[in-house]
Amino acid sequence: MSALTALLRIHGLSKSYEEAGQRRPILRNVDLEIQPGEFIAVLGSSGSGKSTFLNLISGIDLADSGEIWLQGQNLVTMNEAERTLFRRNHIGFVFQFFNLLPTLTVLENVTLPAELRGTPLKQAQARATELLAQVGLAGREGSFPDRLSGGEQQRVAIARALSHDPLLVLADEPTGNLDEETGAHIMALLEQLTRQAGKNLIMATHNLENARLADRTLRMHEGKLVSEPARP
Amino acid sequence: MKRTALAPSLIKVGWRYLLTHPLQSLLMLVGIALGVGVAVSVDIANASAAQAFELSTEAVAGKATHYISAGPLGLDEQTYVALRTAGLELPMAPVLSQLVTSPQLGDAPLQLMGIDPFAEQPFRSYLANDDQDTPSSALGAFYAIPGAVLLSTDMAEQYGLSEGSMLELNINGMALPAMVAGLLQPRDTLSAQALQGLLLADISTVQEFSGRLGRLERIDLILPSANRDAIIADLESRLPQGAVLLQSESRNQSVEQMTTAFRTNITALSLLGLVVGVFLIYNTVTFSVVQRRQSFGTLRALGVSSREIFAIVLGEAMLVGIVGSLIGLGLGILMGRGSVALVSQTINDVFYTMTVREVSLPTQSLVKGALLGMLATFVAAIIPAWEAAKSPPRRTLSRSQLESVSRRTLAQASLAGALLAVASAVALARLNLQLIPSFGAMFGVVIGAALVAPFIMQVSMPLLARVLAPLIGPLGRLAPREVSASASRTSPAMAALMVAVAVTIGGSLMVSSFRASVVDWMEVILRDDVYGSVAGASISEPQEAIAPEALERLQTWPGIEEAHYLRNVMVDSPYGPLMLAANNNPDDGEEQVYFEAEGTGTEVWQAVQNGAVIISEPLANRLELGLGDNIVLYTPDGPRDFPIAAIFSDYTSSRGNITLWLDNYRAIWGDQSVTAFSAVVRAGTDVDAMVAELQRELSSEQLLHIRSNSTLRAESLSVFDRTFLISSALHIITTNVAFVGVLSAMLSLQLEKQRQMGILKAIGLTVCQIWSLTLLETGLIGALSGLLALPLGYVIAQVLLGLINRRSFGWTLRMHFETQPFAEALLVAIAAALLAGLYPAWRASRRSAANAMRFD
Ligand SMILES: Nc1ncnc2c1ncn2[C@@H]1O[C@H](COP(=O)(O)OP(=O)(O)OP(=O)(O)O)[C@@H](O)[C@H]1O
Ligand SMILES: [Mg+2]
Repeated sequence: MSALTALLRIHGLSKSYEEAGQRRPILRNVDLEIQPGEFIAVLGSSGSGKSTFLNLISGIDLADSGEIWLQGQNLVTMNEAERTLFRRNHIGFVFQFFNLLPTLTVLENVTLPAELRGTPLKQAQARATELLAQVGLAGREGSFPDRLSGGEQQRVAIARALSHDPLLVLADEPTGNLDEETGAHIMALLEQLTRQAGKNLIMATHNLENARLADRTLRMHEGKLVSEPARP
Repeated sequence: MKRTALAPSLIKVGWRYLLTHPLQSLLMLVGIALGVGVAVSVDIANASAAQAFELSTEAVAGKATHYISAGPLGLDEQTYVALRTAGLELPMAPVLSQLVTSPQLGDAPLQLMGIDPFAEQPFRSYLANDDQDTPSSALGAFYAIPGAVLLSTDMAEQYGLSEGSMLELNINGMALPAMVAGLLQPRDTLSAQALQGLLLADISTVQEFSGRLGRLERIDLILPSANRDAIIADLESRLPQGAVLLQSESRNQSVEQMTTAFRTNITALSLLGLVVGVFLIYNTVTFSVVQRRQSFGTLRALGVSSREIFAIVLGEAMLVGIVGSLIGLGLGILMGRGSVALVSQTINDVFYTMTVREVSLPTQSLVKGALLGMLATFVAAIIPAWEAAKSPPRRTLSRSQLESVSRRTLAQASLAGALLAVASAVALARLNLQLIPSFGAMFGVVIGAALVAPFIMQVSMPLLARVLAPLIGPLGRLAPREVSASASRTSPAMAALMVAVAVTIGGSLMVSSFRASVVDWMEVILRDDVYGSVAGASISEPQEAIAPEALERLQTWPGIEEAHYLRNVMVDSPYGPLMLAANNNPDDGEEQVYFEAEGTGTEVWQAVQNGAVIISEPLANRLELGLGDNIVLYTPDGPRDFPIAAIFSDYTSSRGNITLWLDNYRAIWGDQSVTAFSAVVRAGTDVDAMVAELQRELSSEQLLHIRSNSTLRAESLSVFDRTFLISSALHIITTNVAFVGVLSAMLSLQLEKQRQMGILKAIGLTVCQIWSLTLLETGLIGALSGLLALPLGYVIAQVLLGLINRRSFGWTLRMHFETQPFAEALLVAIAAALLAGLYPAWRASRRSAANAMRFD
């Protein structure tokens, strides 16, 4: 495997939504290449299409046209089942609104992705417990998500995104609902954990502070993804 | 502070919820509509039956207060002449009636009443001629034309007859010519209905037709209330030996009581459907509240009062309830006709012969139905509405807090439920409850069990997870987990499902046990090879005399080893008229199923031959007589006590009957008639060929109906099936309401999970796994509810069989345990639950995860 081969290659990606008979393009011909180990931040104003972009990469939403190559496979041409399996094996997602399963405990939430991937339960639980300890939630394994604060929930979400050892972690505004201090803490945790595990991270945010941690910063603007000059 | 109307936006909150959850609203609507529909149709049927009963007694008894009667052979008409000429100044009218059928009148049994037209006026209103001369001219025809009969204009119209039409009347197996001599113009719809099923003729015509020359059935009297005792004493002194003076009321009272109990029974059965409907509504409304806890919290934070929240929730439910009830009324009217037919069939088969027609304007039934539907909705919605109103402002309860609260209430509720169920069960088992309290206690058991069920679910799901996980992987743990973790939502669904399924089991077990009891019983009582009675006579209680020539030929018929005779006849008693069945089968003691007896069948029969009687269980229940008591019957020698040697099981008549030895009957009543015979055929004879031959040879003058044992059984069984048709029909409808309930409960549960399914999909659940998870969840709830419903269904069946049947029909049915109703019910539960999972699973699998998470 050559270090020069891009991990993720996106070409001509377009997405529009139809509403009341009117087509509203959100992404227009987006191109992007990401090298292994890179941490990318995607900036952009509200409604610019950041979440849409991440949804397409994770395969939970479908593009109109274009290509998304990851691990030598094009997500756009995959069918629903293939995309699901691909996501299950290679992608971890931290959502904008936590999206933990309310009826599962913290530990069960984190264990689930690994379990789905076929990891034996004991092993998956051990890994989950370890991750929870890493995000500072040791001892809260048995709690239900809604008993946790927003920051705690987001830490569970981060642990969950890493529990099945994905290739690529997608984070959509992971600190959007948190206060500044907690946000910074979460951000640091996310960066540290992904880098430490050698994962790639693509993060959508409108927080410049957060973007500063990234190797590369891009901006979503009028449906295009443009490089943001590195700031001093 | 006075608040009158809800703010328009608040009304929208409720209204929009209904609109955005159309499936749930629709299912709730269907549940109420079906429940109300059944209740209304049964009520229409009951009202029609009650009215028909009242009118037919009125038509036959008229304004008579007393009557004179003299047993099976009737009164000599000279008695009437003597009383008339005694200068008593009392209105009196002779009557001789006879059941007839006519091909020109639809072959249905009709009452041919022989009267004296000149004595009638004070008695029966249909002959009163206010301003019309129809009756009087018709009365003239009585004398001018032999075989003249009168019938109502309605009946004439129905069968396309007019004055002068010829009729063929079948009486005692003989076809006799008659003619419509005139039409009776009823004064109003009520008297029109009273005249339905009635033919009038001069008493001499009926005497001739029925071969009872010079005899009267009874003499009707109107006694003034003043000085009545003296008049009665005077009359009694003038009566010949064997004649008795009786009150007219007593003749119908017992029948009326029995049919009332029967009607109460089917009303309660129809209400079971509504009870299931109440659970359905409760479930739907509870669900809508739980789902909107957050919104209600927000509204409260915005300053909406808890009373307003209460009004929103109750308002929504009542809106659906009212629309559902209205649809139910329409359904009830549509189903009413069918119910009327079924109810009148049953009444005719086991209680009393009469013609029931649907009451024309069932306003009362409709009002009752509408109120019932709304009341049911109100009762079902009030608890969840109150819960919603309690939502604390601003800080809404977190979901897991809510679940732990509901776990606590769950434990309390199940304790209360267990107590209620046990107390009701003890009351049923120990106290000798009447019909309505019995039903009350049965509902107590049902509701109690419904409260315990969710607790059992809580306990069993973790265990299930442990079993399933190693078998099918993470889904095996996830599904039971999900079911118990959302107890606040799954509990009502579960309770509704269990009640519905249990009611289904109870109903079908009752029907199948009834049939099995009857089949077993017939096995014992029908031992002979050939049975015969007059064509057109009742299958179980033939009262038409068979010509002696036919009986003589039968005795000497080659191939017949032994012939037995039966005489069925009504005799008077202090308890009203009773049915006697006198037979001369020496082995009949063995051919009975005893409910209570001292000694063996042979010993019992020995006692009967010595003058005792045996009475049927319904009669024993009705008259509250037991072994060792005496039963009093009026005989030509005056009242006479008969010791009761045994009580036997009988399912042919709720009025009940008395069996005695034919020779004793003949000696006491002096009546030689035989109304049915049976015969044992020499071994090796071709029974069917012999039946065909007997039918041909014996029926030359009088048409007889001769059947083989197997034909009689088949015919009897079809009569019994008909008796239970109304119960079966109600049971089928209840099953349908149950099915709708399950569907709606599961659907609500799963539709709410769309967002969660979205997350799971995003994490990597395949479409196939989404399907599996959804169906596993609904299937688990279905299976557990179904399993819990099995014992409850058994209890319901026990109550229906042991108590309700005894109270409404007079007979006890023994439980015939069959696995089929249980298996079927379990299948219905699981199938409905799975079916209900299909749509949500399909929706969840089709919707992109991004969308599901964004919008729910
Ligand atoms: N399913 C949908 N149907 C219609 N329009 C949609 C849909 N999903 C997203 N959009 C629209 O697409 C645009 C981009 O949405 P997206 O969620 O990607 O924005 P975003 O950049 O993540 O914004 P924010 O920073 O506020 O999260 C928005 O205008 C949104 O309204
Ligand atoms: Mg976004």
